[in-house]
Amino acid sequence: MLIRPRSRHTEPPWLRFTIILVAASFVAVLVLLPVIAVFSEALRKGLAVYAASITDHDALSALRLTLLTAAISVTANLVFGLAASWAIAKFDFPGKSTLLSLIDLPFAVSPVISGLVFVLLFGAQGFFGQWLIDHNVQIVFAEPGVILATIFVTFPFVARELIPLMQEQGTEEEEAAVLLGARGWQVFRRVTLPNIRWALLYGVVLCNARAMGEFGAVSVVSGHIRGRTNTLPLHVEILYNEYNFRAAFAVASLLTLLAVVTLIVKTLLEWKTRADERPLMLEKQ
Amino acid sequence: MAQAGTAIEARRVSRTFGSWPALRDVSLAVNHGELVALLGPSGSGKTTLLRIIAGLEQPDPHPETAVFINGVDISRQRPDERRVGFVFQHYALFRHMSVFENIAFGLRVRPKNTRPIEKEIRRRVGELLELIQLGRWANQYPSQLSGGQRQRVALARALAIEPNVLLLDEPFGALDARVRQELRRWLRALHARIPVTSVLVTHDQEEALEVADRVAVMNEGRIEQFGTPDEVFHHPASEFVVTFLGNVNLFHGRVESGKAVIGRLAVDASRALPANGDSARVFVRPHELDIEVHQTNGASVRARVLRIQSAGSLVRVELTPEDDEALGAEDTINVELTHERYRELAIHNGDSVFVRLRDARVFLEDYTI
Amino acid sequence: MSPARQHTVIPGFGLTLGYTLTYLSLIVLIPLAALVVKGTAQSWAHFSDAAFDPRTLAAWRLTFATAFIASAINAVFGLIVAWALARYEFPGRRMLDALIDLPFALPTAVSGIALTAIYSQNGWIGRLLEPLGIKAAYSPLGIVIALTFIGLPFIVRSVQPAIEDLDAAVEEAAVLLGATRWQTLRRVILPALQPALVAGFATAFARALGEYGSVIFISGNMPMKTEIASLLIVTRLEQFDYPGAAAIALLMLVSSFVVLFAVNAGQWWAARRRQGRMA
Repeated sequence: MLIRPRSRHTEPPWLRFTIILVAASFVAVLVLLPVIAVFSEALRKGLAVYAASITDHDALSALRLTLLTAAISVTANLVFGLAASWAIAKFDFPGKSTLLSLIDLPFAVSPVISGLVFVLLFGAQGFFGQWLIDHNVQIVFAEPGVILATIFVTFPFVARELIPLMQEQGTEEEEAAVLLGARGWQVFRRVTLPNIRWALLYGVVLCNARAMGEFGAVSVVSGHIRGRTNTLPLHVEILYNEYNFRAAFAVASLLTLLAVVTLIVKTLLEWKTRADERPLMLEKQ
Repeated sequence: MAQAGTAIEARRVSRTFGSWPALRDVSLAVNHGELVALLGPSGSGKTTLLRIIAGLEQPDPHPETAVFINGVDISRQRPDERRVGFVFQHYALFRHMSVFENIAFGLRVRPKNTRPIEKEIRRRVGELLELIQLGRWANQYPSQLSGGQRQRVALARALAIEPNVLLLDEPFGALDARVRQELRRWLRALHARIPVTSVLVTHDQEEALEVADRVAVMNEGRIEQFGTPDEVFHHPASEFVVTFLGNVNLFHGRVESGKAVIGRLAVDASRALPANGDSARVFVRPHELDIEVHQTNGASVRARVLRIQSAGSLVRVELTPEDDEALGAEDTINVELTHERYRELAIHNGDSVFVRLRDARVFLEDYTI
Repeated sequence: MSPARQHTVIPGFGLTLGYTLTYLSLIVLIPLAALVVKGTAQSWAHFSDAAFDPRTLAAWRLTFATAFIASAINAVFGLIVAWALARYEFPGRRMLDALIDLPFALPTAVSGIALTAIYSQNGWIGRLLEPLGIKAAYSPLGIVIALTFIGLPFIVRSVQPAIEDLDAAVEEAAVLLGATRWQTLRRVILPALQPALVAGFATAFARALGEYGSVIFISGNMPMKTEIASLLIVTRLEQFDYPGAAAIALLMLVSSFVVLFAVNAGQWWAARRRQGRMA
């Protein structure tokens, strides 16, 4: 992508001003306002109530489950992302575009359906329902179900960042490394990984944000059992439905902070990858 | 079994991509310390052959197909064991490593028992940096180097592992003309110092003829001729070779009494011409023709001077034949004269002169290798 | 020894492809297959009872209508926002750019309760709308607002790079040939942006069809009035009617795919026509 100078406007200044004003207002009202509202509502009854809400036992338990789910989902999808992008970018085989569409599939699926499919597999009336009951294993309405549903929803995030980048980078450096005597893991660790590190981090950050914030899918699978199968977003819902608005917004504010941090890291990484790409473009000339 | 004493031997190698034959039953033997050029147009199969020798690609399976390096069948070795130095056309330098680390790479990834100690690695890399004259650039990154510098680093990286053979895939193709020439000379000097058996792929005939000990001229998946630069240029074995290398004039004639006859010119053929009456194609290089102002014997063609061009050390004269006898020449005849000869003749545009054959090569119409 | 089919020195083909396909099957394909099986294993009577009874039909109408309107709003305003970001310099541009991704990064439950707080009767904006007789929260309007919120990034991030890639020379040529700015916009720029705009619209629309968390708080969830289809799936599940839930889910999935497929096919066909005319 070329860095274009932004001086190419031929609209009259008043029109430019209007467009900017409309754009800024639209985004401010639609997007910024809700963020401010979260904090405003959370702190309305003062700092003490806020602090109590987020250190509440059930809230901490929800936090624990959220962190655990995110850690497992991100790791699993990270490994997958690396394997898939290596297979797709470094080799030629039939059915590649079908594989790419399949990897993107969870993106097109509603969160509720993402949770539903696991209930259909592991719920009491599900395909494995009876077997699970016989062996006293709980997946749905327990932590494993929450984790599985989250893995499903965040499935493509890392792969989507890596695949186009690795395809663009080609295979020559890896070929050169093999001819110079490097073996499989050495090639990956020394040559490929440094070339993809920012995209990898970017994918991990996005995957993590979504894993921690997923609501619909987890809501279907979890059974809403306080203190046991609640993630932070589910806890927000429970508190809200009990009309405990201060606590609900307090916990929501934590999640909002997470989203803001994610956006900051994302912007930094984008800036980093663009800085990395520029000298590479000269190489292609 | 491999031929004794050859450094590289490719035996009956074929490679087909889908339905397109990139290589057709090619055999090649390179001696120790030789620098061989694979020369040909794109699609001739030269890069495919190089990559098969490197082990980057597999030849079509066939009982008699084999590739040996130093007598060892390479298909029995793992790619990382082969000690083949490969220089890519677009360098393939590791973009996130410094120049030093790029060159040191092959040494660093050696298994523990064969890996040199750090001090030794530094020494060797330092030596190579001196050799490629980039000592002061050791800590720079590839993106900070020019194309010519990057290619030198790629070469040093390949040499660092003390390879059995050095394979170069159009190494100077991506560089501009001046840099290409300098690097060509530099490569030749380097090869004199470190005589690793080398194979160079190029489409630039000047490069091949200048740098190589022997040249394999390739076309459409076959080797048309394999010989010294002198042999391929002055004694081309086929029509393709003579047209690919250097400029050439083409005359159409017929076989009569064992010679190729063009109008009033008769040419001895390089081989016996069996059939009278067959059409023959006669190839003459511009410097093999001479111009006379007056006809000395009957064996010359009348022509009119169209253009005279002074080109460096030679003078190029473009003429068009004026004979009413069907000469069968193309519209223009190109002759190269030395400045001395040109001054002797004192000819000008529009002059009517005579073109005489000094030497020529004849190929029959259906000449195939 | 490299396997016969692989003519490359790069290692790891078998391992990585094998792992990829296995993981893909386990996590994505098998669960989705379960949905298809459960959904189609029931009698047509039961299927249509779940998928087409009056309450569900009302939910379908509401879901499609609100998704469409929200995506249309985003198409217009998203284009304006993308244009401002891509073409103009102004203070706060970078912050605006970062804000666009917020609906994507924010958990849907948080967006849900925040939007409700703002647009309910006592909320900052709800308060302003009430005297005008406009009820934002607990009405279809609220649903549209929520869907607009979550759909914005899809359109902007689709159109923005397309604007950045516009060829300056083409616009300059139009001006030199005498076109006014408006004509250039209508005849040159918008047609060039159309594929990105349509793709963004389709993605936002498909996403809005299945949206749950950000909508259920602000909608009020009144059956026949403000109940969305995804909520019906949850309701059926809570009643242990797995086949019914699967039926609705299957229909929803199929409609998302149809939308995305139709749009892709349309783009491909339009591109071919364009090439055909120029050939």
